[in-house]
Amino acid sequence: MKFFRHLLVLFCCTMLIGKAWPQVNAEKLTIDADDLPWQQVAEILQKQTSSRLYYKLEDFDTIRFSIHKSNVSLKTILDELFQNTDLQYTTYQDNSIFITRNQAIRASLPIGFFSSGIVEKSEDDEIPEFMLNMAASSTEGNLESRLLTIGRGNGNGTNGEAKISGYIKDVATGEPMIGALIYKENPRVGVATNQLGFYTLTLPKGRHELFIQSVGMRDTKRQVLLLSDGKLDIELREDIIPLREIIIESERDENINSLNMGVEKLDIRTLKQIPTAFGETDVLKVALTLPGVQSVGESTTGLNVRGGSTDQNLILYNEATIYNPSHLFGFFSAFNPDVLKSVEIYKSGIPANYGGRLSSVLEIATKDGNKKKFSGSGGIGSLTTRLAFEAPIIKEKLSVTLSGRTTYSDWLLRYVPDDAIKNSQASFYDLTAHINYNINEQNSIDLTGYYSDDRFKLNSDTSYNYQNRALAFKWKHMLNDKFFSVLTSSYSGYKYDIYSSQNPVNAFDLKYNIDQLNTKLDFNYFPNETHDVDFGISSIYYKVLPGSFLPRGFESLVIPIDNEEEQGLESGIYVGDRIMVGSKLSVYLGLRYSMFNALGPREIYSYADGFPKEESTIIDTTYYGSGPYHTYHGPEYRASLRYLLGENASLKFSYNKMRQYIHMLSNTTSISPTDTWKLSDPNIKPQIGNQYSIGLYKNFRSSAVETSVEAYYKDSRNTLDYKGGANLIANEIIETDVVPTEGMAYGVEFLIKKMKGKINGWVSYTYSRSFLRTASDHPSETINNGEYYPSNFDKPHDFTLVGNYKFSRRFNIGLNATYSTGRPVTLPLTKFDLREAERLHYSNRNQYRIPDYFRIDLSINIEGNHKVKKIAHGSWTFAVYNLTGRRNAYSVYFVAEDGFINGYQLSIFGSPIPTVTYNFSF
Amino acid sequence: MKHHIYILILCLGALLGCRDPFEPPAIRDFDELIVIDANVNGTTGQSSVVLSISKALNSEDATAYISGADVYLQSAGGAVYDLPYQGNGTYGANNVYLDYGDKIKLHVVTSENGRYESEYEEFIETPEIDSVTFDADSEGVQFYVSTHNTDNSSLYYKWEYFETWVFRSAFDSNYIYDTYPNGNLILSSIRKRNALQIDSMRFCFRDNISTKILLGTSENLSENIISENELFYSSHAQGRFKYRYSVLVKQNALTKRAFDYWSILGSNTEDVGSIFDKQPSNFESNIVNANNADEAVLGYFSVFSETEKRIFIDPSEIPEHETSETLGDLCNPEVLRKWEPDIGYSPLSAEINGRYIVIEFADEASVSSAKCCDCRLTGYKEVPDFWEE
Repeated sequence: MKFFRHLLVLFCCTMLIGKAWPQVNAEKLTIDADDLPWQQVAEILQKQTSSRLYYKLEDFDTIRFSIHKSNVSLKTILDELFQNTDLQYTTYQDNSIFITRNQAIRASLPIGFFSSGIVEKSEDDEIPEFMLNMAASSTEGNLESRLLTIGRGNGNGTNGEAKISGYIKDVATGEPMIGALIYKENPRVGVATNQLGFYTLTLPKGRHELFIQSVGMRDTKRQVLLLSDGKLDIELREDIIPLREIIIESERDENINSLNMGVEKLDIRTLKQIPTAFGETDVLKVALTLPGVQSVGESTTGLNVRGGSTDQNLILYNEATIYNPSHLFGFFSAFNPDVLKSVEIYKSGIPANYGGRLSSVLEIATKDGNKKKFSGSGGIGSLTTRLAFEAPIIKEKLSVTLSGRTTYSDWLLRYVPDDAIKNSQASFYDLTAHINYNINEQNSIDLTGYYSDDRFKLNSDTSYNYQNRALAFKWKHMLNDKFFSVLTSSYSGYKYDIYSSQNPVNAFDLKYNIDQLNTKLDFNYFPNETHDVDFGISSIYYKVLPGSFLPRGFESLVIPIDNEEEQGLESGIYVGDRIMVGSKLSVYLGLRYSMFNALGPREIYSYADGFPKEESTIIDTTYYGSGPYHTYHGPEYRASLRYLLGENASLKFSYNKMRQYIHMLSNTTSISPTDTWKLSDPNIKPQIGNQYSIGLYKNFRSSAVETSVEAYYKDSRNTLDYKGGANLIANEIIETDVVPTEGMAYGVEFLIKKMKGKINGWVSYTYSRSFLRTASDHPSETINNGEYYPSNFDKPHDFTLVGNYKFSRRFNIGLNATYSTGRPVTLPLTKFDLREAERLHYSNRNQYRIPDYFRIDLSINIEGNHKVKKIAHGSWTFAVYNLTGRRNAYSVYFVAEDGFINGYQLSIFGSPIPTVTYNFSF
Repeated sequence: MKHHIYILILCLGALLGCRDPFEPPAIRDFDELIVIDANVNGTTGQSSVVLSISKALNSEDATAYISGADVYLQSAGGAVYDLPYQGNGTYGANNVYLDYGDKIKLHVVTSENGRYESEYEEFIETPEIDSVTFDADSEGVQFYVSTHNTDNSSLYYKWEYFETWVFRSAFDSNYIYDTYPNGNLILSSIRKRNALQIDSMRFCFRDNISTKILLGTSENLSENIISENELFYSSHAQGRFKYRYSVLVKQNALTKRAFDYWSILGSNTEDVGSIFDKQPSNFESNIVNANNADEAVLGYFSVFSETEKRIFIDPSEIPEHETSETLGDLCNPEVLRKWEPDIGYSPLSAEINGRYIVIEFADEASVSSAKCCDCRLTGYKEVPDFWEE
């Protein structure tokens, strides 16, 4: 082997020097050999030719050669020598001759390995070991083209299969790439990395070209020669905006091949390109640009996913549930963009490991933290300031990330020339701390802490304060190459506190609090390439203080209402399997069985059968002691199917059944700080929903352009709507103010996406409808006579364009255009005089619409100079939100003024809003 | 409070948010609905029922009243009170004296044989108003009402208020400009007004009544106390508090049902415009069409007792504030030349346009609108019965 190493080094050097070789065909050689071992024969030949002979001595172990030739070409000699042996040779560029046993070298060598040209073709797909362990080169191109040997050759030759396993990481930070794809083509075999960034891929022994993709990272590939089980770690580079994009021509892409449908994954770089109202990257606002994701209006972060209500989204921040994802009435989302890594939203095809919400799962992941060097980032914007640090505590092993964000809106308010505003306050901050510890290759631990706080006070009267708290612990453990487990324990809390003390007699203190403790254990078992099994259990314990309304101060006469706390236990067990059925068909079958135990102690009212639930129809009060007193349970079926249609297209189906045991009580159209969450109990049944979807996916131009059409139909029941004039605050008998409704939603989403090249972005159009219908027979519990009525977020037409143009590495322009049908509203139909004033009689619920919505935003990003080794990078973002200054109606309303009715439309942003943000990282 | 959220949000929206007038898409397909505004004061016996037809939102037509209906009240005890037609859609009587706890029902039979019936409404006692108080600031005056009851017979309250105040004309018009024909000429003269006349145009009374639905409840308090419930806010505009001001507050105790009706009616039209608005909704009237329960009937049958409290406010009770004594810009006097000798033309006669002369100079006169000089055009002179100096 030593000899070969020398040879190879030489070979490489010569390659690198790029020295021209003389024409060898003209060379005439003479040889006289009698029963000589190959080594001597080779020496004789090598002396007479400028060509290099490459071989493995072992291959010639027992063979001895006899040959007598003069003035003939090398080819003639070799042909004769190897006649009747299993030795073969391949010449390359007329100056290198590879001699191998059993098979000729595959001549079509990896791109870039040699300058160009192929001498001889071979049907074989194998290459011998000697080409391995090439001198390392730092460029990606070389990594991609260099052939890597996996394992060791042995007598078994190339029969059978072997496993490649390893970690895929970010080269800059050492962060494991979760869900990165590694696959080969023809036939396609691939896997995704697990939570540790680890993968195992079983392939036939021999030579393979492996493609590696991960969101936000530059696609890459590796040439491997698989001899036996072995390791291959891969480091990916961030997809920094190159001037000339190198498109890795992977034949088919994630969107075509994966079983996922209705899933969008956006990385922080994509998020950053999209202009927002206050110049700050906002996960939830970007989610709103995706097809099928809508909101009721401008200043809300409440997402309506495919016609579902805002409480039907499971928002996970590093696995911890976040109940109120907004700051400052919804102008900002509660997540600091500096520490975000990616956001993934499941609109359909939700796998069995998720449960608890009907419509979607929004998984927000933070960066693991830089394990190589201390780094940081931050930004100064027109309303907020933020800062984040990432520090390796133990190099390559343990890193800590800290971030904070706050606003100076309080300070700004003081300068508003209006007394009411001057006396108002509004502020928020949020903090994230994250520790990531890669104990060893089998174990990794994450600990995330999150805290957000909002407070505002209006005209020195009522003070509002709300907080999200979350703590998540995650232990990823690899049992073996095929078996992986993740243990997650998290705590989430949300509370608000509203008080007023202006009038001592009515001074009150209104509080709400929800805490949840969540533990789950997930396993991933990967027996072979045809199966990928997930299974696990989870349990969530909820404790809700549904609202206490207490006197504040000695003089207050407010009757203390201290609603009994609610407790519940939501448990789930699931199993799911991704099965490759042949080369075209792949299916996912999953089953989740969920159960909810309402836990005592608690008092529950019973209502007369056949009567509407009203205070007057309470017939009994039952007191339950500690422990479960009411149980709901049921299966949740999950299934997906993918069928490949040729190289660049696929057809997918999915079916989901979901159950939701916790309900948001909100009587307003947008998310408001006084929204509360209520657990299911004997009077409030769990929400149950089904979704059927079908999608067609096709990629063009080597997957540079992805297109898809997805259609869905959803139904749901036991979702809550409210009686007119419902009181939801600290209401002890909430069931008398809500009405269970049945929902129906359907839609078609068209998406064209181009994420590569100078111009990138996506265009989507969605046609969707969303309806509700009250299920009760009692007039007092029906809305619109029990007919279907459009939900608050039924916006049939929705068009979005998100575009980005890179002028140069340092300069890019983002454009965002949105059009949607105005949301439904209830309008007055007629006016009448009552007690000498005009009054209004309203239409049935949501029978009319506010004017259509249209907005264009523009942003310009200017990066500082692009030296990779600079100490700190700065960038400026200049953005204009609502460029056309269109006064989009947020709502319309009618008001009696001096006894007359006047109609108004309220716009939140009535003119262009320019912002400047400075971002930096070091 | 909600309004403040709205303002605050607008400010944060870089002070750029806005509200614009909104004309709803022509809603033509509405049914003309019957409106029954029925009120019975069981203490005074005054009862009136106004029947009308609802109007399109953009209608500026006069209200269409319904005449020829048969309207009567029927007590649970069987007594029947006829309410004869009195014109303008009003049916009334003044002999409906009730005892607390009495229940009474309204019947309306229209000439087209529509039969409308109310639920039985209970006549409940309204406690006295304890006090009407106020807080003045530089912009205006905030009024509060306080009341209490010894028992929980009435936890829900509704108020109305009637403002009366003395105001002064912006200017005294000291001269009269007269024109009279003389052959083909129109001659004019300027003469001094007498002091009595000037005086009669100087001070008048003006009224304003509440149009908002003002409600309060002690439902969530341990005692039936309404403590300084915010009632209304009056700005210094129109010189309300410049001389002497009085407000009469009327209080009705309501049933829970009536309270819900009025509060939803109010929140549909008054408590709206913030980003956290509730869904508007219709709350069913206590009157239904006996033949067709699906027909929407607008209006409400209220049976109530009433207590009231009047207070007076002198300017000395209001802190210093800036108020224009005039009726805003409308009263800016204009100076006109009386005569242009060169052209033989009188700008005054051509441009006075019915305005009054405030003051006269040698060549010029300063004029202002009649309304600014004669308070009787916007107010009245008769001292109200209740007025106390």
